[in-house]
Amino acid sequence: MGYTVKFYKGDYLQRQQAANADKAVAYVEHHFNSSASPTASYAVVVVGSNASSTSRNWGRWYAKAVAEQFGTKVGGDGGILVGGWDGRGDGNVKHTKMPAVLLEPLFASHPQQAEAIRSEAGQAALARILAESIRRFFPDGGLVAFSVGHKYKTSSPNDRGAALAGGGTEADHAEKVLEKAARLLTEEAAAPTPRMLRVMQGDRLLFETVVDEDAVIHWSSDRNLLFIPEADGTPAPAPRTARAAPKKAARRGAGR
Amino acid sequence: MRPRAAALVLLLLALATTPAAADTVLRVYFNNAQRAGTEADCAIVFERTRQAPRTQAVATAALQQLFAGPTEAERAAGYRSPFSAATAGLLKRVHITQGTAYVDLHDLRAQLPGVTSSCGAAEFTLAIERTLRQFATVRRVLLAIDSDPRRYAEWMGQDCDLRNDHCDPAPFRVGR
Repeated sequence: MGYTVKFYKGDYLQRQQAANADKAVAYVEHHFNSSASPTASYAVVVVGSNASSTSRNWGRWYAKAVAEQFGTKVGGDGGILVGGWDGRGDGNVKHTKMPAVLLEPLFASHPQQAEAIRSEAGQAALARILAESIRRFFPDGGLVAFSVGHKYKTSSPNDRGAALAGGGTEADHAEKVLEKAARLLTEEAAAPTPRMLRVMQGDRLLFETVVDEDAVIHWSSDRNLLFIPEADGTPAPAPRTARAAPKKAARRGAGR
Repeated sequence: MRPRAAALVLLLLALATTPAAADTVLRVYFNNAQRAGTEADCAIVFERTRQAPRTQAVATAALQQLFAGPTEAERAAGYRSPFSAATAGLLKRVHITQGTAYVDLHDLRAQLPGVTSSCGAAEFTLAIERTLRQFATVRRVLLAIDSDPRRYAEWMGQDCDLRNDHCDPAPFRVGR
């Protein structure tokens, strides 16, 4: 099944009500975090105080993936803040009828993370993680609702959220990430894709291969070796036996 | 030195180095990741003291001190806050009724763009709440922008519900 993506504008309640009316299958509002301390750093996802287990698991999966990709920690309770911090942010997602997440993957106030947010590579990496998370948790496809945090609010049209350390605004860069994620989702082939194993350097895909849906993949940190069990259960050194996919196809490939 | 002269010198030194009896000592709260030992918890704040001229409006005085932000020396020691000289005039009015502090803010949202994030909101609201809860008469804190609590709630992505008295503006306008 394929995906369609629609960007919702207006005040946050109106966006959620419009997505409900459109029967979206998933709702994503993209922000970046910010602190008075330039060293504050973690990945976190706000889910509504009424969040389903799907929203919670989706948020945890996304925060963990971002933390791994960017070498930071997860914040909140295993990567999520249920109901936001003391209710702040709850109203942005709790009025949806579908699973909904408010993303705060990186800190706009952290100079190195702000640099990543401004970079094409950083935006592409965030977009890929988001697209992969949607494919994983909503494999049947459907309409995905995107909301750019702060921007396009009727009540506060000049709001752009936090300033990025070194220049730029939270909202403008969140929009760029969502636009990239939308392209990844809508340009993918409609047919279900198999589970993929990928090796990446920054945003560059070095290697990918199909692995069995049930395979338990094991990383040996002592040997720097990734084991993928064969169908009969015998571990095999994946990098030696697998074939690297062509770059174009690799970029179009979907993860699970 | 004669004993009486020495006593006078000691008295003058004491007066110069301790708060005058007429001063009020207030507490304000700031973040400090070094003292907290973590970069992943924005809800840890530390107490700093301020001296203000003696006043009965201690909540007003404390918030004015808080909204001026950390001093240069405190910043050098790792204290951080959403507040700074740019927000020193943030407080419009605060009054306390039946355990609730109603804090009315000027609309300085443009000077505080990061405080609606989850980390920024924790830093912003905890600093205000802890500063006000040093007074035994304060059990709860509600905020408004230009006497409009709904505007504050929308800014923070909060609903108007029981927790904020459904954004009732009336208490913020009492006595005006």
